Amino acid sequence: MSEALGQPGVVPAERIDDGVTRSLHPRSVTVERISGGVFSSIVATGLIAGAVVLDLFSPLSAAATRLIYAGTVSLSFLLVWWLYRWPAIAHRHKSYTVGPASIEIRKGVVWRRVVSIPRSRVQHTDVTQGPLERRFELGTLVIYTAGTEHSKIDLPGLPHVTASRIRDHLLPIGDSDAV
Amino acid sequence: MPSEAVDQRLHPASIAFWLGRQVRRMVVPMLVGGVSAGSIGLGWQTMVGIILTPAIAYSVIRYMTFRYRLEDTELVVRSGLIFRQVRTIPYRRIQNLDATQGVLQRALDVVEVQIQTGSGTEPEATMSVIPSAAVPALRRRVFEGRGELDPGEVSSRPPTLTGADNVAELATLDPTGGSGPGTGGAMDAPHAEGAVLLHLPPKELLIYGLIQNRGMIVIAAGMGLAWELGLVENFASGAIGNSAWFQGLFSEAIGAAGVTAAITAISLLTAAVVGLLIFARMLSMAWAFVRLHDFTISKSGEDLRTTFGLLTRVSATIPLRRIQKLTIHQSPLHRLAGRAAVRVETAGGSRYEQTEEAHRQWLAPIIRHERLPAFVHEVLPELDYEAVHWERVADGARGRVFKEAAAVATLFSAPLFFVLGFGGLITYSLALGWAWLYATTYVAHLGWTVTNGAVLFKSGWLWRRISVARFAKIQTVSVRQTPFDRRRRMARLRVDTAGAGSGSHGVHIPYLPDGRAWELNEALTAEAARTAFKW
Repeated sequence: MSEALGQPGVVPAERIDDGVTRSLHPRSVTVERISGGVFSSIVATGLIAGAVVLDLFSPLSAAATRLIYAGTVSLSFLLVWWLYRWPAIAHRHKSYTVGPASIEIRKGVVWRRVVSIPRSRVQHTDVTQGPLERRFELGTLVIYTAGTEHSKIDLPGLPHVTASRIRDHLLPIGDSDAV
Repeated sequence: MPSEAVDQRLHPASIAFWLGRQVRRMVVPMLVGGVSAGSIGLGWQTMVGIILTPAIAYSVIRYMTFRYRLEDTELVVRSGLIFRQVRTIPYRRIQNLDATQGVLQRALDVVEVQIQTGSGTEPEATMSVIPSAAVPALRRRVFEGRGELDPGEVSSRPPTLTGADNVAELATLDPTGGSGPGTGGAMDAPHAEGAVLLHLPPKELLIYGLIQNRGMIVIAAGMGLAWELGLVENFASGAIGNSAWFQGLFSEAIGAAGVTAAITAISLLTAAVVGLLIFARMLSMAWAFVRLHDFTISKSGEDLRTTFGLLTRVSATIPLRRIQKLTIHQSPLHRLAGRAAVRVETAGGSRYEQTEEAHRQWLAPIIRHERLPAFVHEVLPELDYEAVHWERVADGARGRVFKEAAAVATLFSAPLFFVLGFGGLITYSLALGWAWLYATTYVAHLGWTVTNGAVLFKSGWLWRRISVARFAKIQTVSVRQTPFDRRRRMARLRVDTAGAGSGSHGVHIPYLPDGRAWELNEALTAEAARTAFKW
């Protein structure tokens, strides 16, 4: 289901707590690919630099050196490819459902997990934005509960407007003693 | 606030106790400092002076600046000379209130009070120390000012469990009875008359000590203390330095030729190990007798009060509604003795998990098995523990547990084939037999159920545990599926509560048929959402 996003302040008319399961925004895949690209280029640079140092300062045979170069380069390519592919796969398995009384977050490709948070158990919420997320008008919704294992639950990759709307929806209801 | 509240100060003895605490912490640096001071020509007296002066100044300043005030709805604590701190704690946020009295504190008739809210890391306010006479007023103020007591619930006092041999009569709460001089009414008298739920006479405490086996902890603590004081080094260097003694022992053992000597050595060693184990258990019993002496838990209105201790007298108050999770423990020794233990978690007490103080959360360190339902009913009135009908996990669970156990058995037995040959085959089949036994019994003892108001989970074959989480205390519900779960169409469901210690038994139900897991997830979330969480 597509989201009405774009300019902040333009709020889609339909209710947010409709109990419909939604995927994260496709742009979150791009964001993850970019940060994956940054990460893999750092790692690849390190690997190749290591191989060069090994080449210059160790008395290895030419064949062994070539093998090491081939290994590092292919490892780097594998990493880049994987970090390009993975966000799309992970995206297919991530979703969230905001109902009137609770919010449910699904994650995980191989090990799957679903966390359901009753709205009355939300202690407080954050909407955070990294530099990349800001560039793409995305935001991360962070939900805090009084629990132990799930005292902090992240939901990244939402359009910033949607994240803010869910946050407003989750704000404590009525009697302040629920906190 | 236009109230009659006045600033109250600590007892002047606080200075001495604070100083004492800091000195205790500095014993090791002072010893080290003393030695190195000697080497640079300073007298040890000078070093002690250098270290002690700031400690004394700190203690005095702390006493001078610390004030607390009981407002209508909140407790206000002020402290600090340069960096001033004013802390306001609304009474309704207070999770529990603990009062502790050491031997010296009892002699001076003062108490250390710790107040905890849900933040869980450390006590929100520590009043160390105040006159014992001030405690009842504080307790009354905190728990009455909370303003959460439903008048209907207060008026219907819970019935006392009578005719039970380890449930003592109300007379135990006589303030002058049993707890020595200096205690006064401040520590032992509940703020309202309460019904005693459980009282542990010495016999029960000895059984508790025997079962829990805290002896090793006592030994470890003793070793730690000895090490800190440098006794071990002296002893070790004395013993090892005296190597002639060792050599004599060895040459005697080897030289005396033979089998008899070896047998003697082995039996001596065995005797020593057995002796140590017995010694540890006896220490544990002594420890339990001293620490939990006169353990009493009573219920007054909506609060539970525990008091215990021979030397250090502890009095803790846990509001019933603050109980996040209740767990019943039964070890093989417990079952042998026909006993069980009941523990609760509150949001305020998770830091005690690692410490000696953990048994504040033992509602019943030991209780007769047949008394359990009545006791649980007092703590969680809405739960009919005896009428619980346990649901089983998925049918394929036993096969999966067996496969996992068998994989472990195979992994560990494989090297034995190379060492033992045919013998390895025998151990392997024994290991597989064990895996089968384990899988069968483990799965047979798994159970879960949803009753009115709570979700229950039991697990364990030898060490059995049952956890109860009330809907009103469920924080989140999560469902997980490993690849193996998905293949067998199963899922595991976890209920998260506040203040759960890492590794403590909780409602973590494995091997549920996946349809059941989704249903349960939805139902529990809805139930939790319906109730407002009040810590």
